[in-house]
Amino acid sequence: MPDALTTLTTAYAARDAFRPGDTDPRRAVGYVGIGLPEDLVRAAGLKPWPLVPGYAPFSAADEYQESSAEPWIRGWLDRLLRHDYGDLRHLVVVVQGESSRRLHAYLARVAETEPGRGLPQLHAFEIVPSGGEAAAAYNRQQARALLDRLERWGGLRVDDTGFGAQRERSRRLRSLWRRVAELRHGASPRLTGRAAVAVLGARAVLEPDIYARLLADLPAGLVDGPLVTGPRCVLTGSRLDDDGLHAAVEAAGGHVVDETWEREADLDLRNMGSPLEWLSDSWLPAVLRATPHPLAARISALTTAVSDTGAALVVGATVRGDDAPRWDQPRLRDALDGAGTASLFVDGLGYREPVPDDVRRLLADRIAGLTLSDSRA
Amino acid sequence: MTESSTRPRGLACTRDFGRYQREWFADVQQRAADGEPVAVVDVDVPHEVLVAMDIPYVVAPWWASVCASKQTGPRYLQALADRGYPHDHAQYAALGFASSLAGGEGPWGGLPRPSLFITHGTVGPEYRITELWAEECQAPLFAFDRCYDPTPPRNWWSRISTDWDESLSSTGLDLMAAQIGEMAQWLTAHTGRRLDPQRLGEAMDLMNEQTTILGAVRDLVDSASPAPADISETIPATMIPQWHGGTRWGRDAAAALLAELRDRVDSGAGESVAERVRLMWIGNPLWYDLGLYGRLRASHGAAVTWSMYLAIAADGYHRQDHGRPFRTLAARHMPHRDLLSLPPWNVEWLVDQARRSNARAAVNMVSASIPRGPRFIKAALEAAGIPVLEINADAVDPTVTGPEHIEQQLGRFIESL
Repeated sequence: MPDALTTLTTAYAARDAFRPGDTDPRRAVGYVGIGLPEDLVRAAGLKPWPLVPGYAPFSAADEYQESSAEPWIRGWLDRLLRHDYGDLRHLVVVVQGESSRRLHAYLARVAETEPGRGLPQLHAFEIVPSGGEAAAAYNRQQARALLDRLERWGGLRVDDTGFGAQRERSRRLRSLWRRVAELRHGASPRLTGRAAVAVLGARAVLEPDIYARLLADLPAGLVDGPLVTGPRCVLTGSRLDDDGLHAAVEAAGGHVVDETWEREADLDLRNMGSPLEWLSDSWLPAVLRATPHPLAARISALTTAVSDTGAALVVGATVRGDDAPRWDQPRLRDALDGAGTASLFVDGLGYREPVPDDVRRLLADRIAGLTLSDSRA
Repeated sequence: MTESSTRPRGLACTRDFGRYQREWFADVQQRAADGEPVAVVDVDVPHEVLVAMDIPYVVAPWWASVCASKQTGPRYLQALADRGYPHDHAQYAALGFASSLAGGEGPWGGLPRPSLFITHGTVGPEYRITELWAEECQAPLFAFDRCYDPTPPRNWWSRISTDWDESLSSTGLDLMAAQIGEMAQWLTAHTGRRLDPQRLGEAMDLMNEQTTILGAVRDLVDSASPAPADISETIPATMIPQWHGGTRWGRDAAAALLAELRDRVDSGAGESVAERVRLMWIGNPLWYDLGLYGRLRASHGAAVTWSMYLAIAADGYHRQDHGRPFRTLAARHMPHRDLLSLPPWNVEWLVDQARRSNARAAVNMVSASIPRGPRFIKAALEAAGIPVLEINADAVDPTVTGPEHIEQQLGRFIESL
């Protein structure tokens, strides 16, 4: 029987073939973005699935979308238009900026003008970022609308009891994720960055109970394994949706201990209140904290990740089609220089494409110049 | 390309506007030097509040267009590269920031040193760029949230002026109205100036008057044959009065434009110029080559008469005040960007505009950094019998697609009609 890590890694490797809509078409709810609380979806009697974006070529999406859109946005649209998520009947687009707004608008337009396409029913769950009182009120209204929509789709009223049970399950999952993080960047790391990507990403394709059991079993399978060595690295820049850069860093001798792009696993939640109160006062603020908005907050998030993990090197990478993070680079570099942390910034990687040889050489040179003592864990 | 062939025909009023604008800029520079506040703002924030508080402002993308039309784009983009910033991405949004980095001589004597920035917080790289710009100028930044309306009103252009309270997202209006209040307090905190409700009401009325006049301009250009002006004339003549929207000068400037175009039509001034085919130009013009449109008219009898600048001034701004000024302002500014760039808002409006402007075809300038849903636009216009040429280019950066190549594409397209 394969161990937990092997099972998780195998599931992750097969993620592109997974069709969540076929698992239970009446109940499956696909979503894009990190801002959809799965606990709430389950409490409404539905089954949430984070959708894995496709990768180039995006021929179906290109009929409707600018090629300058971020590749994961193109990847989601492409797979949705090709019915590549199976018989998916419900979709929540978490709207947190221009790209996701545009994804929802384009899907809605296609659904309206080509009703025969059979696209899923859509809901836009918008989270505005400024954090002021007016924004909080707007977000609360969005939370109310989401709850109403989920109850309508699921045909079940979300009550405190059902929601409490889901939240308890989710609390256990978060605790398991924290153990995974510890295995990765604790004092005696036994989980590589590449393996951690698979462990976290397998959630998109495994039933929640199976996934939680595998996470629970993971530490025991690693405890006698080799320690992961090499200078510690944090990745920042574009979200990568695969482990290619991790593998390249590891091949160059480094150990990727963290990434700064938003992940549900990093949400810091409180156990409180009714479903709506929890959604408004715990979930939404946590999502906003996980997607730092002003530049100063992004700098702080990166330097905190470096200090929390003892990283010696930050690798900032952007993929073609996601140029916005490039604007941060000079200021991030200055901040890292000021803190004595080495950095390497590379642009124009292909989304879910092999890391080019010249970038591999840069990584090797940079990491070779570091020593284990540069890592401060 | 000779100098004479690149120079657009000129409206007398535009020359007057340019003179006024240069004098106004010199005055603002002096005021800034004397310690008065100067704001850099986005297009879709409530300028009327600044007018009412007597805080001069520079509209960032309009400043970028001025820089590009004065051929300073390449030098400014190089300044970005010199500081490690991208010079090949979001050039339109970045050119103003670049002008601050580059320093030295600039159009109209250069940008007065900004002391305040106001933008939207959720618009791709623009927010990041504005943050950097504000930091460079050591100035505070106020950011509106930009909310999304998943159920936009249909035929908005025929109803939004009056029934905006029903047709626009109520929660979105609540949000922006509240944030306009926050912005006014923020301005007071940073300038010591207070918002006078009466002055705000006057500014809003003047803005409505201006947009009504610009609506008449649009109707005149659409209906006259040959058209009295092409977009190289109407865009500057719309943009400068809009820069001063909410003021008497802004309203009167729009009226001067209308009067001059009426004169042209009445006197038959345009009739000696062949107009074989009439085109819409969707998106930003080529700011670095506004002479293109005159050359197309001379070489192909192609009159490029429709631009979003005049048309959105006509259809997108007028709002009846229902007694809650901040909410009325929110109704004007909240959907502005969607009207121009997000399907179905823009798509259905463009089809309507193509019909009413008697356009034979459309040119859509597709810029990588300003998405507007070009596939939806093309599909809808072609379904309405309007052929579309998509040109991949950048409005302020001639290195993205060379002007000669663009002109060749246009020539072939027009000949195919």
